[in-house]
Amino acid sequence: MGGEQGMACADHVERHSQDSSGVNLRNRPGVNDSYLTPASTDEAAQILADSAPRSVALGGGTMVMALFADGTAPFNTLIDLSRIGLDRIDTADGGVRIGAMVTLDGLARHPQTAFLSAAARSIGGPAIRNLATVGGNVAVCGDLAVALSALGAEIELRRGRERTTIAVEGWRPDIGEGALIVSVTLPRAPRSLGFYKLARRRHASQAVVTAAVHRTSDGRLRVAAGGFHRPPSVVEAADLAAAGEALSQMFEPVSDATASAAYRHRMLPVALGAAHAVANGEPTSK
Amino acid sequence: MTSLVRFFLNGRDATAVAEPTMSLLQLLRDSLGCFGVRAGCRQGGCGSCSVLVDDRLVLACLVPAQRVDGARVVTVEGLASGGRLSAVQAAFVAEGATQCGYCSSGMVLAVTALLKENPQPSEEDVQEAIAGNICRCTGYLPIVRAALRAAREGTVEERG
Repeated sequence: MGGEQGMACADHVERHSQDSSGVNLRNRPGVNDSYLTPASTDEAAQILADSAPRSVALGGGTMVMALFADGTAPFNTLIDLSRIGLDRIDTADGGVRIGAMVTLDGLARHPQTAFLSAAARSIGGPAIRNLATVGGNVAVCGDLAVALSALGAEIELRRGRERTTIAVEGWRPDIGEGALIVSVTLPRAPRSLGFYKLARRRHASQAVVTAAVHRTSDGRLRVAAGGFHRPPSVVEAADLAAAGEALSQMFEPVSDATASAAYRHRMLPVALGAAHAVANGEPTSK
Repeated sequence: MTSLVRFFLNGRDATAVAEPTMSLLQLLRDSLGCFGVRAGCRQGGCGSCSVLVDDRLVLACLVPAQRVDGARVVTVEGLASGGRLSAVQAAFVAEGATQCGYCSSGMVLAVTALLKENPQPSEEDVQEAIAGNICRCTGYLPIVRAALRAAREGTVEERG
């Protein structure tokens, strides 16, 4: 402590003189900033409900910390969820309950969620997957939300003491204000899921279109598409042609740095066809 | 509301004051002088600030500084021991896998993390392991060769 501080890597450090990255540091700490570490789900849900909208639930930090680095974070209270035990995957009565703080790496490796492994591994590189959480990816309508919505998954929410559930594809950011995502639940664990993320690179790349095809127990197809931070489009249909037709009617992609909306529309059948091939166990080109 | 963070940095006790919104990257560079941890994009997009926290590869720019209280953190400064480079570092030198050097510390840690878990990776395993680390010199082939060389030649102890 004291004099020892700052000696870990360099002999001399000019402390607090400037941000060493050379970039003008915009996230100057504010006097009202706070970092809270609740010890239970009840406590976290209550703090979040009481302090919205200036607070944010901190899962893996991959979204929240980037906002602080950018200087665009609209909140000043971080509620760290790492000590409230939401990092378990439980199975009961044929269903699966995935805690919001399960990391994407943990999800990819867990034997009870092997059907979500491809979806989890499609996101980021290893370092991101060691941090990013299931709850966080669902909250920003990421690629995992596409896979989960094809499976009919629900988000379990806490708003103070109130408990509610909402379909993954029904999630909107405004629903989340003051609410805590506790877990994602699946009514039954499928044997497999046809998942395909169409992107510019195989790894660590944003999606052009992400598609997921799930064959339900009555032989129909439940199909979802998205991958660009908007709620996934989901349809159920008798076969791929009907699903593709229905999906293209409701599919409203965005234009961003990765792809234009028009290109995403053109690529929807490609991603869907590839996801369907995976669902049928057919080989797809990587 | 600052907090005192105590953790193990490269095998030694470290203590630093952390603001609520401070990242591990800021803590390591600005408070503790670990300039081997690069501040590239600071958005989780480039991999140049990769470090190990409790043996797992993470991006220091995305980890809240207060979360590493009690954790073991390893930066590139902690890989060499007794003046000897780790097997991964030595392989990067042998293969000329550094070019401008900006991504090197993150790449070395990404490969170090891979070899801890998978001592005999395939070329594709290596590619996937460094997928989140960008080399803007685009010198990926020597980096992949260096990873495979370290797997071939280094003992487990030498891998850091």
